[in-house]
Amino acid sequence: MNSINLTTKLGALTLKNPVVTASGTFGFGLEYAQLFDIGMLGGVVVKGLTLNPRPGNPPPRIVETPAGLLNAIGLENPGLESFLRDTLPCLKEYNVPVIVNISGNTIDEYAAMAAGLNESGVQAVEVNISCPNVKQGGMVFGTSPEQAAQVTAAVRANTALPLIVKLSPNVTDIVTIAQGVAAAGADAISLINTLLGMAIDVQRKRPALGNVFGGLSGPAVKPVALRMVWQVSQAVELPIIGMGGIASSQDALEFILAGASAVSVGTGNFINPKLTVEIIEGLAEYCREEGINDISDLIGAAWRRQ
Amino acid sequence: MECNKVEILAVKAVSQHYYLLTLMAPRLARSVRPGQFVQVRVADGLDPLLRRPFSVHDWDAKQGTVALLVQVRGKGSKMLADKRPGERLDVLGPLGRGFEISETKGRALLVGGGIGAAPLWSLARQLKDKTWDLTVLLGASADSLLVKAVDFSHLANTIIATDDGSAGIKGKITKLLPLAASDYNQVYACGPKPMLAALAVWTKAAGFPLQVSLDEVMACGMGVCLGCAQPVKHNKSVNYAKVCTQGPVFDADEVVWNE
Ligand SMILES: Cc1cc2nc3c(=O)[nH]c(=O)nc-3n(C[C@H](O)[C@H](O)[C@H](O)COP(=O)(O)OP(=O)(O)OC[C@H]3O[C@@H](n4cnc5c(N)ncnc54)[C@H](O)[C@@H]3O)c2cc1C
Ligand SMILES: Cc1cc2nc3c(=O)[nH]c(=O)nc-3n(C[C@H](O)[C@H](O)[C@H](O)COP(=O)(O)O)c2cc1C
Ligand code: FES
Repeated sequence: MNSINLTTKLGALTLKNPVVTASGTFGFGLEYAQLFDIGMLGGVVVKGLTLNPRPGNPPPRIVETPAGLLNAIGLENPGLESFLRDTLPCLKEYNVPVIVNISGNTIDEYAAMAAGLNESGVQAVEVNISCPNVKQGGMVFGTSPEQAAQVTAAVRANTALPLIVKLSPNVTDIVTIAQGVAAAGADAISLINTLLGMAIDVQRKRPALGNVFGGLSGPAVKPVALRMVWQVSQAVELPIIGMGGIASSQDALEFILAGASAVSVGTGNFINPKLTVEIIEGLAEYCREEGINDISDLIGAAWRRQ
Repeated sequence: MECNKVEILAVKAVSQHYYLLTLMAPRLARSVRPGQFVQVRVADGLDPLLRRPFSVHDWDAKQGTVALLVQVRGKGSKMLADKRPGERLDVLGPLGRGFEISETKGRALLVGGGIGAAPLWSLARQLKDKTWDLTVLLGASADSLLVKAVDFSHLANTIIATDDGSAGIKGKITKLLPLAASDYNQVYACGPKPMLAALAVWTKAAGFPLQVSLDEVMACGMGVCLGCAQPVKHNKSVNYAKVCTQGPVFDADEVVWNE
């Protein structure tokens, strides 16, 4: 039997399979390399970086909710320079495409980071305009169509790398924002970042998170994410990386059938550290059973079938 | 480190709130060190979603067995206590940096508050093997929340305190410190933060080095989510350390206690 073609394209970037890791849930890739060969993944999206190091928010930073996780990490990271100098060389040894997730307080910071990545040998940039856990920048850019487009244009002007823009679900009209970043020069769109939420500690009678609000992720958010992938993939020509609650290959298939060209696994890594590789196997198995030779035939199949 | 489904050999209630889970996990039993922990998936479903961290209480490298001592606190620990022998449990580990044991023998004080005594048991065994001289202080709010007091007394001079006086001396564990006064080369402790903070003040005044095992809510347990942050002193500034990989055992001097 012919082997199944799992390759997928995100603009100029070709991935050997459609499974990547969600930023902030896979560190800088090296930790999980202790458990399996991360070279098997379609790509590794690293923890969100900023120009300067950030200490992050005070604890408690995480609270579990039914089928979900609220986090308020606050973009703790060592800064771009330290990543390029100390971490990237080790990560490159694993022969896996590296996608760098970037955040900034200002549009200039996004532009400077994009410029800083040009000669680094990473495969793509993912622009995070959707972090709900920082006071300046972050989600503010992702909830205004004008600012989302401005950030995208500024990054585009400073990089020739494939440019992925990661959108926030905390908006009324996701399609308008997606159209704006597409027009401003994005090559692909990531959907979705976490949903703004909170929890109360009834024993201590105060908010459970140190930062009061946090971002909700995990299986609880999957229906919202899937709906947004469905809407955006029909309205915008760009490839989409779908994420939000993926915990099995079935979940990943739902995103692909809804219009995603690739999927990203986040919170699921914490529950099953080998989930990404199990999903790759599960996708191949599904294609085999369904007699499909090329996984790209499945992208958006659910809306073509309506 | 590995992530595997291992067989549960026994689940035994050892007191009203504590259960001892014995697992067949040969590789874990060969590689684990005192103070390290595992992340256990308590159910296959999505609620509870996250794994739960538990210290490795005891192990037998020859038999290939590992024991966890579980206090029933909420739904995850209750589900663990309800497991039956023969069922399989998804275990990730060993994780974290455990207690440091100096090669030159000396005199050690071990202080355990409530379930905090769980990781001190394997530490006590190893120190005893290296012929250290041990004193153990165990405290809890009540008798039913004391951990394995009898076993510790086989290894060491063991002093007990309970808040309600239902066992040992009535009062907080810190009240016992003068009773245990001696010259210690190392103090080890695990328990509630206020207890550890009080102990840090006492050991500092006495000039004893103190290693504490900290407890923070965890998601990944592997250093990737940055969820388990604990403020620590670094040179002259304060940083967040990851309890799961830089700890759970820290030098008390590094820890910022007044959060
Ligand atoms: C490194 C490490 C080692 C540990 N070793 C042991 C051990 O050997 N034996 C043992 O019984 N417990 C141990 N714990 C604590 C154990 O992880 C929690 O008791 C458990 O996760 C609670 O889960 P639950 O679903 O039963 O409670 P939940 O339903 O999640 O919560 C019930 C209550 O427990 C509290 N709680 C939840 N998580 C923690 C936590 N990490 N620490 C303290 N309180 C918590 C909650 O605030 C709540 O009040 C350890 C924790 C860490 C971080
Ligand atoms: C602990 C944690 C940290 C995260 N950090 C980032 C980040 O730095 N940058 C980013 O773009 N998204 C971040 N995210 C969002 C995830 O990448 C992902 O978009 C979201 O969690 C939804 O997917 P999931 O349900 O599979 O986790 C983080 C999520 C979690 C749970
Ligand atoms: S629990 Fe995820 S970094 Fe420590």
